[in-house]
Amino acid sequence: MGVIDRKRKNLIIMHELCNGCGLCEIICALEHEGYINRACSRIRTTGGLRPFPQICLQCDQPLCLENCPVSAIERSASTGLLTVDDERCISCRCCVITCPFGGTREDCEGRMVRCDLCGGEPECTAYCPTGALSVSTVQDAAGRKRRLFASNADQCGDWD
Amino acid sequence: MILKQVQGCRKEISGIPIGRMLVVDLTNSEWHSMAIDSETAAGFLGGRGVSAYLLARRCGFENRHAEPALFSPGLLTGAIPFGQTALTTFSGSKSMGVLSLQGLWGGELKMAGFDHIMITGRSDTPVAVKITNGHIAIDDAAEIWDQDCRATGEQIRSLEGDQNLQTMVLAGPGGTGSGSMETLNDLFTVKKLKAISVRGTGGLKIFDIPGYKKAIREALLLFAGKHELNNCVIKPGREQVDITFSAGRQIAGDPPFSGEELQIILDCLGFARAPDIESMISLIYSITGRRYSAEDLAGAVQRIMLAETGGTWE
Repeated sequence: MGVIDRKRKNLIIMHELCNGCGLCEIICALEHEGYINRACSRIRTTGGLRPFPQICLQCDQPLCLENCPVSAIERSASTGLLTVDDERCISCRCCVITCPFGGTREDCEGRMVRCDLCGGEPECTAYCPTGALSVSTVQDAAGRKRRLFASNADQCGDWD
Repeated sequence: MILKQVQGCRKEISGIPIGRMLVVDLTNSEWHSMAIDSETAAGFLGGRGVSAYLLARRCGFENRHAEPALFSPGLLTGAIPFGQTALTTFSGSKSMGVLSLQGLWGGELKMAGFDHIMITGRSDTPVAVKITNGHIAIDDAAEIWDQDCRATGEQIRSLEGDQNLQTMVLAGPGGTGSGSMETLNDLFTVKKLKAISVRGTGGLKIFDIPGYKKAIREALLLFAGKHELNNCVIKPGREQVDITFSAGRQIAGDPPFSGEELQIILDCLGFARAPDIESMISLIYSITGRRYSAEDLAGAVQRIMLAETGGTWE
């Protein structure tokens, strides 16, 4: 088992707060592609009445990296984030298939894309109307969820 | 010429109101596309407005019994969340009215290169229309005719192998319309049109991205409950955003709009909410590059109301 970086920040999604507006998808596509097309967004919201945004979780032991046949996926030494080398990528989609969370996607142009936190300052967090998106460490996010649950114990979503 | 027949869909995708209409004739299983003059489209804003114009001037159909149903995404649909699509229908001599449909279908239609779809005529057998970036198919829908809306959408996406396909299911399970032509379910049951699926890989270009982001931020204050719109506060959260307009209440602006007039504007623009008229105008400009004044909006509302009630306008 590799070293776990507990100080690395990630894009944290509070699913209980998401109302499925999709503005994150719009902003993400605009930021990365320069035009709006939700299918090109690195964050995707699935579900109808129960929206569930999904992104690359930046696993400490990424299955996508381990299974990439051409080593196109690597972890940045400066940011600690997983990135895809488009030049090396052969679009075999192994990363899409092996990711248990649907974090890597094929965009409209056949590229394998994932959330890269916009290099450290995710644009989507500034536009989420409910505050469901934020950047923090996983421990901080867990603490926030505990406080949210404690203060709204009877409104913390339906667990059926 | 205001309306002319053209080939295919728009080559450049943009959010500005250039009206490219796809006309699908179910009777003859044919289709063609038509272009609407951009100034005309702009004068009627878009969505509900342009569809009112098209129906009033009988653009795209001449036969009174063509029973046209127009699906018209608004000016801003696809570029903002909660963008709505206006559905206006005309059956025989009676307008069946205007509906606002939520979801991603309207934005997907614009990305596929069309701003309006007009469905005319009736098919002999159950069919489903599929639009993929300007490629049109009218497929047999006997297999899905008896399914409910959710199952229909899931099966179509599964058959196409594309979860990004946006599907609008129009006829109830097994064609449960009453035949009285009083509801949309009746209309599409008679037309034997089960669903319209759209997939567009084009993108919506934003005229002024920094301005757009600023305008979206201002609108977000509304979502976050920091603005009161007609004394109704938007409550964010997992629940459906709940907003109601009180008839007769007015938004600050010059000229002020009644609740009914505001609803027309919002149906045309595909954007349900803005803290005030100036914010709305800024948002439209940032996306389309066209700057409307409050007077322009008022003029458009008057033309739309005349079109919907059978009147004439300059």
